Parts: sequence; structure tokens; C-alpha cells
Amino acid sequence: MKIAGAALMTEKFEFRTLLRRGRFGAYTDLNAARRELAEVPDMPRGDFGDFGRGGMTVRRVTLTALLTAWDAGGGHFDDAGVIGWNGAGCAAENSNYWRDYLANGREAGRGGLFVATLPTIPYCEAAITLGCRGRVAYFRTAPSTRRLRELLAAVPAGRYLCGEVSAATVAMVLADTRCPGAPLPDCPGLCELFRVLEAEA
Amino acid sequence: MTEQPVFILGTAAATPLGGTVRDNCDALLAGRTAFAAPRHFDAGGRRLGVDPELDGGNGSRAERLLAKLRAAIDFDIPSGTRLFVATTVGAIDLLERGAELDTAHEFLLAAERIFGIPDATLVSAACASGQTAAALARSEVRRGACRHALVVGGDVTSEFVTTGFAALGALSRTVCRPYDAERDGLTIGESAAALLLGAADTGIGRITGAAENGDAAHITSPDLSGAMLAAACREALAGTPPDAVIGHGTGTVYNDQAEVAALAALFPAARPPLFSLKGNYGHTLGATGVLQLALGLELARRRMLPPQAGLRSPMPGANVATEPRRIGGARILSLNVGFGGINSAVALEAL
Repeated sequence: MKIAGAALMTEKFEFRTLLRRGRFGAYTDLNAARRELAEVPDMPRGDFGDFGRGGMTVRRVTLTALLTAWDAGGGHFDDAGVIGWNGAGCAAENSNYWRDYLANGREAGRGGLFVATLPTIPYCEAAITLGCRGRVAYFRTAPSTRRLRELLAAVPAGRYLCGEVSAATVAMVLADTRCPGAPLPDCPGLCELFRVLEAEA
Repeated sequence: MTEQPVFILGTAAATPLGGTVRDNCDALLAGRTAFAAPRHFDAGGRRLGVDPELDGGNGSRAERLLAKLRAAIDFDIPSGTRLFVATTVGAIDLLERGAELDTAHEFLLAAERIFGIPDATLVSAACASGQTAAALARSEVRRGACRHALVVGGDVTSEFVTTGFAALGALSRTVCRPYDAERDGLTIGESAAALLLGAADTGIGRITGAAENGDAAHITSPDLSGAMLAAACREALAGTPPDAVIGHGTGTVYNDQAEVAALAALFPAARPPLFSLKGNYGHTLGATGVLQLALGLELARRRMLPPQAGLRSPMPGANVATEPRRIGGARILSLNVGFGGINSAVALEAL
């Protein structure tokens, strides 16, 4: 498996990419980040028509996916799948919907908050933005990138944007399971893997 | 790496309509439904596919559902079996009671405890979680990562999910009527089901193909052309037509339209008989894919397809019926569709 691109977003809205050594930010907010990143040469265009609809996690994942695609050289990603792995899941979104429901009652429940209560939603939004038509799923496993590699080896060969979201960071790699790559270290998360690969590069 | 043949070695179901796969198929063929007013929360007069056996008791309703499924399993789970757990919201009733935690993770931990298998993999792909987990487990067995895999899918009825779908305007005013011309939305249900897959010489059935993809079109609505769902079906079937289709069939206008469009593209001349469990159980979310495969296998073994519960007037293009039907063989195509445009198709064959 080859890492064909990778990006890391920090809590200060800074982005770093692995292969092209991109450094972007810090932005005042994610809408500003989206606008300014669109001006970067070679940046995939993406469908950002619904960017404002998404919550913070959706926007963070979508922009990190965009930077990962840029790091991989851009082009089309319609063959790619998008996989979420470990991290924070959607516990915050679940709590957000439920608190809003309790505060505002049955008749005023907000469907937009409910939709966010699936851990796949940020990855589906990223797939829509980049036009990825491969599989989309979220896996929670033991904290080992070796286990993630095993799961990717189990699915049909192809390109997968794999992301992990925590409160502080979003890390994403573009894994190409069709290509042999250099051995990867086993890390507890994608953020740690990104930092190890960045230090080695 | 040599890929190994993968067989279905055992199935189990814990639903409001029975504690065994056979009982459930008997209930489906008799047209029984599970719809009643829930007693564990105020559903605003709505009927759901509820299991009264899960009412009361300590701890999580979701954990009681898993314990009921464990009790329903009548096959041995070999040592070294890997566990794949499919759910959407998991132990959501714990959040409703004020616990701030990751409810899907809690469900995973409960499944590890109840089935005695550590280091399980949680698979979440919205309402396609069940089939996605089954396909992933099959792939792990095929490539030799494990000899056996237990796939467990489950979700409970909750105020959280019911009000969420209500806020989206997706619930039926009465109960769901999959593939009916006058369908008006889905009904939430609760169930759990399990499949034991293994690298063996034989079994009760086998998954002959599986494929997933995404519409990349809309976060809640499927692509009404059904083009990507049809592509997933084509890949899963690999040229062998099914004798019947267990559809996702939620009873929403858009879902059923997209599915029927996909099947029309796949089978322009003669569409195979179609059936959805949702008319009997409601939408059991993360359970539905595993339940479809477990019950679909038994129905294929019997060469029978149940009457479509809730059906009055079939929507154009849907080969559904109000009476049980004999089917010509033992090959079933099962479909799941999820929020975010997730499509899943699994082909199986009873042996």
C-alpha cells in the first residue's frame, strides 16, 4: 500500500501536507480557509455548494480531504473511497442534537443536527465535495494503523481517503492499495503516522 | 495471497417476531408485523417495530438486545473468531438518560463482553452498516486474516432516532408501506441479527458477491436514477441473476424510487421478485443488512418470498406481491442504502 498524499489540520486552522510540503494558514475561520485555499495553484475545485451547511467536523474533514487530494497531485477522485477511522466519532454531534431537542422540544427538533449524528457524515460530505464514488464507511478498531491497513487490504483494491478526527486535529491519508509502498510504521493514530512520515521525509 | 472460499456457517435473529431465524421466516410468510406503540418513550402516538421483551431491566436497552441475540445463537463460535459489529447509534438510550459518551463505542464494548471476543471492529455506514460489516468480514476471511468472523448488527428504537427522522419529515403517518404507490415514509424498528462466516468446506450458504459505492450526490437523498446502486448490484452479481431481491425498501418516496430505478436498469426485461423486511419490522437501521442476509438465506433455502406487508397498490415497476411467492432458485440479492449516498449490494446463495 502506498501513501499517495496526506494532510494534517491543527486546532489553529493550520494545514500541513506530506508530499508537497504544503503549509497553509492559520486562518481566522474555516470559511476563510475554504476561500483562500481555492486560490492555491493546482487545488482541486471541489463542490463546495453545501459547505456552509456542515458543522465544524464536516468542514474540517472536507478541507483536510481537499488538501490531501492536492498533496496527491489533484486530478479526479471519482474512483476513490472515503474511510473514517477511530478518533472522536460523532459523540459530540449526538450530544448536540439531543441537547437541542431537549431544549426546543419535539416540534422544533432540527433535522440538520440529526443528520450529523452518524460518524460517516463528515466523510460522505468530503466524498460529495471531491466526487468520490467509492465506498464510504467508518471503522473503529484497536488504535493501530496496522489494523487499519489490514482492513484496507480486505476491501477491493483502490484509492481510499482515510481520515481520523480528534478535538485538536484532523489527519488524512490517501492510501493506494493497488501499489506496493514502503513499509509503514505502526502508530496509534493517523496524526501520529503523519508526524512520523513527515519527520522521515 | 490465495483467497479462500467463504461460507455462511450459522445465522441468528432476535426480533419482535421471533427468537430464531425459522420463527422469523414463518412470521414473514404469514405476513405478521411488529408495530405497536412503544412503552419506553412517548412516540407521539406513532407505532414502531418494538420488541416488548427489551422493556424494563437495568442497563442499556441496546445491551439487552445483544444479550437476547447471544441467547438466540445455537451454533458454536470457534476460538479465534473475529467480531464485526454494525450499528448506527448503538446504546443511544444511555445518552438519553444523560450519559455523555460515544454510544456506538459503548455498543461495541457491550458486544465484546457478551460474545466474549475482544478487539472487535465497529462498522458504521449509516443504514448500510449491516451489509458493509458482512462484506468486510467476508473479505477478511477470504484473504486468510481469520478463519471465522461473527457479524453482529443491532439497533434499538429510541426517542433520539424517532424524533430525528420526524424532524426530517421522513416518518410515515401510520406505518411504512414499502414499494407501495401511496407510501409516505419509514417506521423505526429494533432488532439484532448475526452471521457466522468461515473458511470451510461447506455451510448453509455462501456470500457469492458484495460491492459498495457512493452516489457522491446528496447527504440525505439517494440518487433517484439508482445508477450507482445498479453498479454495485452488477458488481455483486457478476453476471449471475438473482432469483429474488431483498430490497432496502424503507417506504420513503425517494429510497424506493431509487431502488426500483436501479432494478429496472439491471433487469429491463423481467424483474426478479422483490420484498422488503421493513413492512414487517420497520427500519432496524444497523441491524437491517445482517437481518436481510440471515432471513434471506432461510427464505432462499425454502424457495419462498413473503407477502409484502403494508402493500396495497404496487408502485410502478416494482415486482412485489401481497401473497407469498415461490421463487425459482436459491440466489438472493440484498440491498442497503444509507445517508450520504452509500449503496451496498450483497449476493448470496443457500446451499
